[in-house]
Amino acid sequence: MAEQKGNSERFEELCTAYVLGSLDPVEQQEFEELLRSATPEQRHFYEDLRNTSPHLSLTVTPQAPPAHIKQAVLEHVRQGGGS
Amino acid sequence: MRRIQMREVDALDKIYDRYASFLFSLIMAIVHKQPEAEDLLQEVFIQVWECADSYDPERGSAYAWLVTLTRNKAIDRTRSKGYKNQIREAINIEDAFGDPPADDRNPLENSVLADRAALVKKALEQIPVEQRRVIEIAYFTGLSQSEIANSLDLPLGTVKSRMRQGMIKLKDLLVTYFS
Repeated sequence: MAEQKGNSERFEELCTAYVLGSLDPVEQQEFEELLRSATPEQRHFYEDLRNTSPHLSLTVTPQAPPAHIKQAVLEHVRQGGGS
Repeated sequence: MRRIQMREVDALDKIYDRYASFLFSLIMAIVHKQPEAEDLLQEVFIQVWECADSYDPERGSAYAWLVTLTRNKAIDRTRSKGYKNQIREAINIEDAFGDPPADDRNPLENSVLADRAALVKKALEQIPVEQRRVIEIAYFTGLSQSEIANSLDLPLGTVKSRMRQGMIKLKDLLVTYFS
Protein backbone atom coordinates (compact mmCIF):
# COMPACT_ATOMS: atom_id res chain seq x y z
CA MET A 1 0.00 0.00 0.00
CA ALA A 2 2.82 2.37 0.99
CA GLU A 3 4.70 1.41 -2.18
CA GLN A 4 1.60 2.12 -4.27
CA LYS A 5 1.27 5.56 -2.66
CA GLY A 6 4.96 6.22 -3.28
CA ASN A 7 4.63 5.25 -6.94
CA SER A 8 1.60 7.47 -7.33
CA GLU A 9 3.38 10.45 -5.79
CA ARG A 10 6.42 9.82 -7.98
CA PHE A 11 4.22 9.74 -11.06
CA GLU A 12 2.56 13.02 -10.03
CA GLU A 13 5.88 14.65 -9.21
CA LEU A 14 7.40 13.74 -12.56
CA CYS A 15 4.20 14.52 -14.44
CA THR A 16 3.82 18.06 -13.10
CA ALA A 17 7.42 18.88 -13.97
CA TYR A 18 7.16 17.14 -17.35
CA VAL A 19 4.30 19.30 -18.57
CA LEU A 20 6.30 22.38 -17.57
CA GLY A 21 9.36 21.07 -19.42
CA SER A 22 11.31 21.18 -16.18
CA LEU A 23 12.70 17.65 -15.92
CA ASP A 24 16.30 16.81 -16.59
CA PRO A 25 16.82 14.32 -19.46
CA VAL A 26 17.11 11.24 -17.20
CA GLU A 27 13.86 11.99 -15.36
CA GLN A 28 12.16 12.89 -18.61
CA GLN A 29 12.97 9.44 -19.93
CA GLU A 30 11.80 7.89 -16.65
CA PHE A 31 8.47 9.67 -16.91
CA GLU A 32 7.93 8.73 -20.55
CA GLU A 33 8.48 5.09 -19.59
CA LEU A 34 6.02 5.41 -16.72
CA LEU A 35 3.50 7.01 -19.04
CA ARG A 36 3.66 4.10 -21.45
CA SER A 37 2.48 1.76 -18.69
CA ALA A 38 0.23 4.27 -16.92
CA THR A 39 -3.21 3.38 -15.61
CA PRO A 40 -6.21 5.11 -17.23
CA GLU A 41 -6.43 7.36 -14.14
CA GLN A 42 -2.77 8.34 -14.43
CA ARG A 43 -3.18 9.04 -18.14
CA HIS A 44 -6.22 11.19 -17.39
CA PHE A 45 -4.20 13.04 -14.74
CA TYR A 46 -1.45 13.63 -17.30
CA GLU A 47 -3.87 14.88 -19.96
CA ASP A 48 -5.52 17.30 -17.53
CA LEU A 49 -2.11 18.65 -16.55
CA ARG A 50 -0.98 18.88 -20.17
CA ASN A 51 -4.03 21.03 -20.85
CA THR A 52 -3.36 23.13 -17.74
CA SER A 53 0.14 24.39 -18.48
CA PRO A 54 -0.67 26.39 -21.67
CA HIS A 55 -3.10 28.46 -19.63
CA LEU A 56 -0.15 29.97 -17.77
CA SER A 57 0.52 31.96 -20.93
CA LEU A 58 -2.67 33.91 -20.26
CA THR A 59 -1.17 35.49 -17.16
CA VAL A 60 0.97 37.87 -19.18
CA THR A 61 -0.49 41.20 -20.20
CA PRO A 62 -1.32 41.14 -23.91
CA GLN A 63 0.87 43.41 -25.97
CA ALA A 64 0.22 44.04 -29.65
CA PRO A 65 3.17 43.27 -31.92
CA PRO A 66 4.23 45.78 -34.57
CA ALA A 67 2.06 45.63 -37.70
CA HIS A 68 4.97 44.81 -39.99
CA ILE A 69 5.21 41.30 -38.57
CA LYS A 70 1.77 40.31 -39.81
CA GLN A 71 2.55 41.84 -43.19
CA ALA A 72 5.77 39.85 -43.40
CA VAL A 73 4.04 36.59 -42.43
CA LEU A 74 1.25 37.02 -44.97
CA GLU A 75 3.67 38.09 -47.67
CA HIS A 76 5.74 34.98 -47.00
CA VAL A 77 2.82 32.58 -47.28
CA ARG A 78 1.28 34.34 -50.31
CA GLN A 79 4.60 33.96 -52.09
CA GLY A 80 4.38 30.25 -51.40
CA GLY A 81 7.05 30.16 -48.72
CA GLY A 82 7.49 26.68 -47.37
CA SER A 83 4.59 25.16 -49.23
CA MET B 1 -6.81 25.36 -37.94
CA ARG B 2 -8.61 23.07 -40.37
CA ARG B 3 -8.82 25.95 -42.85
CA ILE B 4 -5.12 26.65 -42.46
CA GLN B 5 -4.46 22.99 -43.12
CA MET B 6 -6.43 23.54 -46.34
CA ARG B 7 -4.00 26.39 -47.18
CA GLU B 8 -6.48 29.25 -46.78
CA VAL B 9 -4.43 32.39 -46.15
CA ASP B 10 -7.45 34.23 -44.77
CA ALA B 11 -7.62 31.70 -41.97
CA LEU B 12 -4.01 32.44 -41.03
CA ASP B 13 -4.86 36.14 -41.12
CA LYS B 14 -7.72 35.55 -38.67
CA ILE B 15 -5.77 33.35 -36.30
CA TYR B 16 -3.02 35.96 -36.27
CA ASP B 17 -5.48 38.68 -35.28
CA ARG B 18 -6.90 36.49 -32.58
CA TYR B 19 -3.75 35.23 -30.91
CA ALA B 20 -0.76 37.36 -31.93
CA SER B 21 -0.95 39.72 -28.95
CA PHE B 22 -1.03 36.88 -26.44
CA LEU B 23 1.74 35.00 -28.17
CA PHE B 24 3.89 38.11 -28.55
CA SER B 25 3.52 38.83 -24.83
CA LEU B 26 4.43 35.26 -24.01
CA ILE B 27 7.57 35.50 -26.13
CA MET B 28 8.49 38.83 -24.52
CA ALA B 29 8.04 37.30 -21.08
CA ILE B 30 10.56 34.62 -22.03
CA VAL B 31 13.18 36.41 -24.15
CA HIS B 32 12.79 39.96 -22.73
CA LYS B 33 14.06 41.52 -25.96
CA GLN B 34 11.71 43.11 -28.46
CA PRO B 35 13.73 42.46 -31.65
CA GLU B 36 14.09 38.77 -30.70
CA ALA B 37 10.41 38.59 -29.84
CA GLU B 38 9.37 40.10 -33.17
CA ASP B 39 11.60 37.70 -35.04
CA LEU B 40 10.22 34.74 -33.11
CA LEU B 41 6.59 35.74 -33.58
CA GLN B 42 7.13 35.85 -37.32
CA GLU B 43 8.78 32.42 -37.21
CA VAL B 44 5.89 31.05 -35.14
CA PHE B 45 3.21 32.04 -37.64
CA ILE B 46 5.24 30.86 -40.60
CA GLN B 47 5.64 27.54 -38.79
CA VAL B 48 1.91 27.45 -38.10
CA TRP B 49 1.36 27.75 -41.83
CA GLU B 50 4.04 25.25 -42.79
CA CYS B 51 3.35 22.67 -40.08
CA ALA B 52 -0.41 23.01 -39.66
CA ASP B 53 -0.82 19.33 -40.51
CA SER B 54 0.92 18.42 -37.26
CA TYR B 55 -1.98 19.88 -35.28
CA ASP B 56 -4.26 17.13 -34.00
CA PRO B 57 -7.51 18.43 -32.45
CA GLU B 58 -7.83 15.24 -30.42
CA ARG B 59 -4.69 16.15 -28.49
CA GLY B 60 -5.87 19.58 -27.39
CA SER B 61 -7.15 22.96 -28.48
CA ALA B 62 -5.62 25.07 -31.22
CA TYR B 63 -4.71 27.65 -28.61
CA ALA B 64 -2.82 25.06 -26.53
CA TRP B 65 -0.98 23.91 -29.66
CA LEU B 66 -0.04 27.48 -30.58
CA VAL B 67 1.10 28.30 -27.07
CA THR B 68 3.22 25.17 -26.79
CA LEU B 69 4.82 25.79 -30.17
CA THR B 70 5.51 29.43 -29.25
CA ARG B 71 6.88 28.71 -25.80
CA ASN B 72 9.15 25.96 -27.09
CA LYS B 73 10.58 28.21 -29.78
CA ALA B 74 11.15 31.07 -27.33
CA ILE B 75 12.83 28.84 -24.76
CA ASP B 76 14.99 27.23 -27.46
CA ARG B 77 16.09 30.71 -28.46
CA THR B 78 17.13 31.58 -24.92
CA ARG B 79 19.08 28.34 -24.70
CA SER B 80 20.79 28.89 -28.02
CA LYS B 81 22.01 32.40 -27.35
CA GLY B 82 23.47 32.19 -23.91
CA TYR B 83 20.47 33.76 -22.26
CA LYS B 84 20.39 31.17 -19.54
CA ASN B 85 23.03 32.63 -17.25
CA GLN B 86 21.36 35.98 -17.54
CA ILE B 87 18.05 34.47 -16.51
CA ARG B 88 19.60 32.41 -13.74
CA GLU B 89 21.33 35.44 -12.28
CA ALA B 90 18.21 37.51 -12.16
CA ILE B 91 15.13 35.36 -11.90
CA ASN B 92 12.54 38.01 -11.65
CA ILE B 93 9.31 36.69 -12.98
CA GLU B 94 7.59 39.98 -12.21
CA ASP B 95 9.41 41.33 -15.27
CA ALA B 96 7.04 39.26 -17.33
CA PHE B 97 4.14 41.23 -15.99
CA GLY B 98 5.62 44.68 -16.29
CA ASP B 99 3.71 47.50 -17.92
CA PRO B 100 3.50 46.87 -21.64
CA PRO B 101 3.56 49.64 -24.21
CA ALA B 102 0.17 51.22 -24.77
CA ASP B 103 -2.00 49.20 -27.11
CA ASP B 104 -4.94 51.08 -28.50
CA ARG B 105 -6.17 48.06 -30.47
CA ASN B 106 -7.43 46.39 -27.29
CA PRO B 107 -5.88 42.97 -27.87
CA LEU B 108 -8.26 41.49 -25.33
CA GLU B 109 -11.09 41.97 -27.73
CA ASN B 110 -11.54 38.25 -27.79
CA SER B 111 -13.78 37.92 -24.78
CA VAL B 112 -13.38 34.16 -24.47
CA LEU B 113 -9.64 34.49 -24.01
CA ALA B 114 -10.11 37.48 -21.71
CA ASP B 115 -12.54 35.57 -19.51
CA ARG B 116 -10.23 32.59 -19.49
CA ALA B 117 -7.27 34.78 -18.55
CA ALA B 118 -9.24 36.21 -15.62
CA LEU B 119 -10.05 32.71 -14.37
CA VAL B 120 -6.43 31.57 -14.66
CA LYS B 121 -5.29 34.61 -12.67
CA LYS B 122 -7.99 33.94 -10.09
CA ALA B 123 -6.84 30.33 -9.79
CA LEU B 124 -3.20 31.32 -9.41
CA GLU B 125 -4.11 33.74 -6.63
CA GLN B 126 -5.43 30.78 -4.66
CA ILE B 127 -2.13 28.93 -4.85
CA PRO B 128 0.46 29.66 -2.15
CA VAL B 129 2.97 32.18 -3.44
CA GLU B 130 5.99 29.88 -2.98
CA GLN B 131 4.31 27.20 -5.11
CA ARG B 132 3.22 29.73 -7.70
CA ARG B 133 6.73 31.09 -7.94
CA VAL B 134 8.38 27.81 -8.92
CA ILE B 135 5.62 27.13 -11.48
CA GLU B 136 6.03 30.56 -13.06
CA ILE B 137 9.81 30.33 -13.14
CA ALA B 138 9.64 26.91 -14.79
CA TYR B 139 7.07 28.05 -17.32
CA PHE B 140 8.67 31.36 -18.30
CA THR B 141 12.34 30.37 -18.18
CA GLY B 142 12.40 26.70 -19.11
CA LEU B 143 14.82 26.05 -16.24
CA SER B 144 14.95 22.52 -14.87
CA GLN B 145 13.96 21.81 -11.29
CA SER B 146 17.65 21.49 -10.36
CA GLU B 147 18.42 24.86 -11.91
CA ILE B 148 15.47 26.45 -10.12
CA ALA B 149 16.64 24.95 -6.82
CA ASN B 150 20.12 26.41 -7.38
CA SER B 151 18.74 29.79 -8.41
CA LEU B 152 16.44 30.07 -5.41
CA ASP B 153 18.91 28.41 -3.04
CA LEU B 154 16.33 25.80 -2.09
CA PRO B 155 16.65 22.02 -1.66
CA LEU B 156 15.69 20.18 -4.84
CA GLY B 157 13.04 18.23 -2.93
CA THR B 158 11.37 21.48 -1.90
CA VAL B 159 11.16 22.67 -5.50
CA LYS B 160 9.73 19.32 -6.62
CA SER B 161 7.18 19.30 -3.84
CA ARG B 162 6.08 22.90 -4.43
CA MET B 163 5.78 22.31 -8.17
CA ARG B 164 3.73 19.16 -7.67
CA GLN B 165 1.38 20.66 -5.11
CA GLY B 166 0.94 23.92 -7.01
CA MET B 167 0.29 22.33 -10.39
CA ILE B 168 -2.22 19.86 -8.97
CA LYS B 169 -4.09 22.73 -7.30
CA LEU B 170 -4.02 24.76 -10.50
CA LYS B 171 -5.27 21.80 -12.53
CA ASP B 172 -8.11 21.11 -10.11
CA LEU B 173 -9.16 24.76 -10.00
CA LEU B 174 -9.11 25.16 -13.77
CA VAL B 175 -11.00 21.91 -14.33
CA THR B 176 -13.67 23.28 -11.99
CA TYR B 177 -13.72 26.76 -13.52
CA PHE B 178 -13.83 25.57 -17.13
CA SER B 179 -16.32 22.76 -16.67
